[in-house]
Amino acid sequence: MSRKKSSYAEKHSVYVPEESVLSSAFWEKNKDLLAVMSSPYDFYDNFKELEYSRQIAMIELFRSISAGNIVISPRSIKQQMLDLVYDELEQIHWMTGSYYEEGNAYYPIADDEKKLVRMECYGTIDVRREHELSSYYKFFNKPENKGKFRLRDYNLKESPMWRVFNQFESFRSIAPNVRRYLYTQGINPDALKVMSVNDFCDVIHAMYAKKPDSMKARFLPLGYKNKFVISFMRHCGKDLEKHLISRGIDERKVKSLCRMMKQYGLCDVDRVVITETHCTQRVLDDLKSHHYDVSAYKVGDQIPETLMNEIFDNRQESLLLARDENGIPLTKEDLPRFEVHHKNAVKFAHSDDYLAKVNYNGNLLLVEKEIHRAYYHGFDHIIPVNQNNERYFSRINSTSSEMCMIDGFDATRDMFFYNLENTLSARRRAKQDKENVVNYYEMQYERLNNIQKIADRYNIEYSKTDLNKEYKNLQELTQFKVNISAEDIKMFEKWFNQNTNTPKQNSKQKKRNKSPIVPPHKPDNER
Amino acid sequence: MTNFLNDLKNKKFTQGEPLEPEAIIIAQKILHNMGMDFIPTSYVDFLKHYNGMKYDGSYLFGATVDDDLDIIDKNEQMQKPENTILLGYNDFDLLCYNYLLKQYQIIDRNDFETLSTYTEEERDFALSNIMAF
Repeated sequence: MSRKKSSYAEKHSVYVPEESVLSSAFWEKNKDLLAVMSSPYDFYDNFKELEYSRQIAMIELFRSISAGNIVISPRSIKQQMLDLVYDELEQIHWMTGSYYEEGNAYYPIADDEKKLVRMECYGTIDVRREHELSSYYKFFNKPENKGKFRLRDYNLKESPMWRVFNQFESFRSIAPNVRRYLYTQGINPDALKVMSVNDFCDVIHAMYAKKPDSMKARFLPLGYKNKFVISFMRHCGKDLEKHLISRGIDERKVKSLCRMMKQYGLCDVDRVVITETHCTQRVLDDLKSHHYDVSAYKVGDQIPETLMNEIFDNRQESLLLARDENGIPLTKEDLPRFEVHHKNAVKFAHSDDYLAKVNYNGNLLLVEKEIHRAYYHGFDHIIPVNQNNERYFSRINSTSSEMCMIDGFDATRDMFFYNLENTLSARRRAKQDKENVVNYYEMQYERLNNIQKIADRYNIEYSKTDLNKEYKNLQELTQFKVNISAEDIKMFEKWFNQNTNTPKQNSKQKKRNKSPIVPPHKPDNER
Repeated sequence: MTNFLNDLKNKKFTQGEPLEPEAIIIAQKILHNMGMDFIPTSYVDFLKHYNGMKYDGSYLFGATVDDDLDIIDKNEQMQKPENTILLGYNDFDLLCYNYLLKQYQIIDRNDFETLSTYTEEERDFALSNIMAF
C-alpha cells in the first residue's frame, strides 16, 4: 500500500527548470508583462492597468533579470533588456516617490545604537547573558558592594552610556524609574559612570520583566511601530476603510481589521477576528445564551461600540463571528496584509540627521506585504568589497516623509499621504531629541576614561574579556576618527596593552600611566 | 533558567502545521542540495514544538506549507550571509545558523553585521531575540 505524501513533500516535489527568456514557456507565462515592458513610452500607464498580482510579478521579473537569474542570450538582447529594466524601474521609483540608493560609504551606527533602535521600535528588551555584562557593573551589583545612598546621588547625566539611551524619547520616559530602581537596589552611584549599554539593558529587564526568568520584558506599553499604526489609523483610518471597501472587500472584514489596527497597532491578518458589524439572529441568540442583555436590539441594528468592547474585553469575540449565508465564518484571504517599513534604512540614520529620527512616524510606512517583499526589499544588495569588512550595498529609499500607506502603484488611489509629524507632541519630541543628541563614540571614550578612574578607586580587577571588548571600542574610535587626538588614543592603547598582557593582575598593584587624559572636544556637526 | 518555550505559552501568534517527520527530512535534503548544511538539532527540537511561527512582522521558519514560514522558500528567496542557514527574521535582523562556526547569529538585515552570537545551548536566547513579542 502506498503511503500518502506529506503536504510539505508535495509542495516541494515540483521540479522547476531554469527559465530562459527565449523559451516558449517563459513567453507564454509572461506575455502580458513582456507586452507592457516592450513599450517603454507608455510603461507608466500600462503598468498601472495591470492587476496587482501581475504588477508584483513584473517587479519580480525585473529583479530576476537585473540579478541575472534568468538566462538571456544572445548578449546584445541581454544588454537591451537590462537597459529597459533600469529605465522602467526608474518609472516605478518615480511613481512611489522612491529612489535607488547604492554605494559603500555611509556613516555607520554602532551595534549598541542599533539595539536601542530595535528596543524602541518593539517596546521590549531582551534578557542579557552574564558574559554580556561588564565586570564593573557586576562588581557593583554584588551584595557586599551595595550600600545606602541618597536618591539625589543618582545623576543619570553623569553616565555616558545612559546619555546614548537618553537620545530616545522612550528611554527618557523611563529614566526616573531607572534612577529609583538603582537607588532601591543600593547600587553605588559611581556605577553609572562605567555601566555599558548592556548593563542598563539588564537593569531595565530586571525592572520590567513579569518573571525574573522571562526572556523578554516589555518596558513600553506599545512599541513605536505599533504607535505609528495607531497614529495612522487615527488620522487616515476612515479613508483606509473606504479604500478597502471600494476594492470589493467585505465591509465586516475591513472594519474588523481596522479595529485591530486602531486599538492595538497590529496589522497581523492572522490574528483578526472578523466580527459582524450589525446584529444577526445568530449573534443575538449567542449573546443571549451568554447572559448579555440584548433586549434593546433587533436584527439589522448596528452593534454598538461599547457592547463590542465589552465582548472583546471578556474574550468572547467568537460570539460575534461574521458568517456567510451558509453559516460558515468568513475567510481572511482577500484582506491586505500590511507591514511596517522603515523608509530609510536604520544604517543611514546618521546621514539622515539624528539617530532617534529613525523611528519617527515620518520614517515609517504602512506597506502591503507583497510590495514590501518584492519592491522595497527586493533590490536590497550587500556585497563584501574587501577584507576590511567594507561592503557595497543597495536599497530602495523613500523620499516622501508624508507618504504613510501604500498598497498598490497608483499614486492617486493606492497611496495615502499625511504629515503624521505635524502634531504638537511630535514637534516637542523632535525638539527634545535634538537637544539630547550625543556622539556614541565620544560617550564610549568618556566611559573608558571613567573606567580607568573607577577601577582604580574601587580596586576592581580587569578581566581579559572586558579589556578585549574595550579594545574593540577603542579600535572603532580610531576607525571612525571622532574628535579625539591621536595622543589620547595612543595613551589608551598603552594602558590597555599593559592590562591586557597581565589580565589577572590587580589594577592597584600595577604601575599605571597616570598622565591626565584630555577629554574629547565637543562634537562638531560632522553628521 | 530562562525558557523561550515557557514564555510562549501565554502568547498569541500564528504557527505552522504540526511537524511531519517526512517534512523535516525533505527540508534537510533540499537545503543540503542547495549547498547548505543540515538544520541544527537544537532548532529541529524547537520545530517539534512549533513548526514555524509569525507575529507582527517577525518570523521563525519551519518545514511547513505556509509560504511565509517555509524554510526552503525563504532560504531560496532571501539574501543571507555565506555559510549560514536562514531560520527567521524580523524588521531589522536575520536569524541565521552559521554551520561553520556552529552558532546562531543575529545579523543586521541592512549591512550583514553580526550583532550577537549564541551557542546551540543558548538557542532560546536567539529565538527570543528575533520574535517581537
